[in-house]
Amino acid sequence: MNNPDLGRLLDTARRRPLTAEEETRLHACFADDPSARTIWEEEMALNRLLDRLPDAPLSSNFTAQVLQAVERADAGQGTSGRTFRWLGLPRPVRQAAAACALLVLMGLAYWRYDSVRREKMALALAELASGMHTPSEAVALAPEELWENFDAIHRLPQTQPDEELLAVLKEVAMK
Amino acid sequence: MSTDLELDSDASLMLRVKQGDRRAFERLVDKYKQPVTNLIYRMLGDAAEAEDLAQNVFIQVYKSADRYKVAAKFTTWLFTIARNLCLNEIRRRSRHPATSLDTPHPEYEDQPLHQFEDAKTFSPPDALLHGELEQKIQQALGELPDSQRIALLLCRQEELSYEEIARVLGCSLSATKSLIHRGRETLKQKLKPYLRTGIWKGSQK
Repeated sequence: MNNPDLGRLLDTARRRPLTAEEETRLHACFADDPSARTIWEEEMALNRLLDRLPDAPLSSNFTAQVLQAVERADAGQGTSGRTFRWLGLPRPVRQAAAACALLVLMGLAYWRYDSVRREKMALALAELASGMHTPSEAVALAPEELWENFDAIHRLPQTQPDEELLAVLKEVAMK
Repeated sequence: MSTDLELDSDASLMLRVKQGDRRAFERLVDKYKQPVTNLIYRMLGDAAEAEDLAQNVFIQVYKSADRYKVAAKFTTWLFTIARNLCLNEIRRRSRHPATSLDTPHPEYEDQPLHQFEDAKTFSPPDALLHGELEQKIQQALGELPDSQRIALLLCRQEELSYEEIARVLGCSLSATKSLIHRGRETLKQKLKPYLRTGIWKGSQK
């Protein structure tokens, strides 16, 4: 098939009947190239055969079944999704809201984890303090103000001990 | 044939579906249930399965309504969903092939493995009239590669232009035209005995 116009007309005829103007162009194609008529007739015969294929059988309640399935799907969906839909929020806003909610949840989880850790540490210290029974040992305990800052000091990065200060303190203690 | 008015009406119905309007959705289902089921039926060759899958197509349309953009033509979007579900089903079938009803019984070779009552039996003359030719056309279609078959079937949908078919198939315009052309050439070869008359002439090959 060398005639491009015949190709275009075939493409059109596969999908809809030709208009009067297109019919005229088709006859011009046949006049130019007699073999075009054979090609055309074969193509139209195939179209007729494909048109003979019957419609697929459909249940009379097809639409009702689809609507029921949609209702079930909606009922299964979380109420939050429906609330966002009712608010008419566009998809990006809903995604941003979901991301924010996730961040808040993560923050809450970390906060909870941190407070539990602190509680455990306080309990451990209390246990340590309660383990010292004798009055002499009790006297030797550091003053309460020192324990107040234990947590903060404990978190300080490890640094080299101040050797000079330690030496001075040692001398004071010896005296 | 598709008109701007129809295009607008489909798009506006979809916008209403996006807002959760069930009535608009019902109208779209009613309008497109037959073309969608036909496409799936001709792809799978199983009427019951085609209906189930067509229902799934519409459920999918409803569930992903908020992803629908008015810029895209509704039918392009609809048939893309139908095509994807069809191909998934074909892949699933190839992984889990069903046993043929003609498979012989392992002990009694003259009997089939399974016997089921045929709920829709035609009397012999009816059966002959009911579509030997249609059966041959469906068989010839079924023997085409999936990509050629779906391209050719989409081409029979008046609503879709070649560009839209290419979009549904996810390939270029020229590749789409080539698939349709090759599919039609194969069909012409297979259906040659009755291309001229439209009548099946018995056992001609």
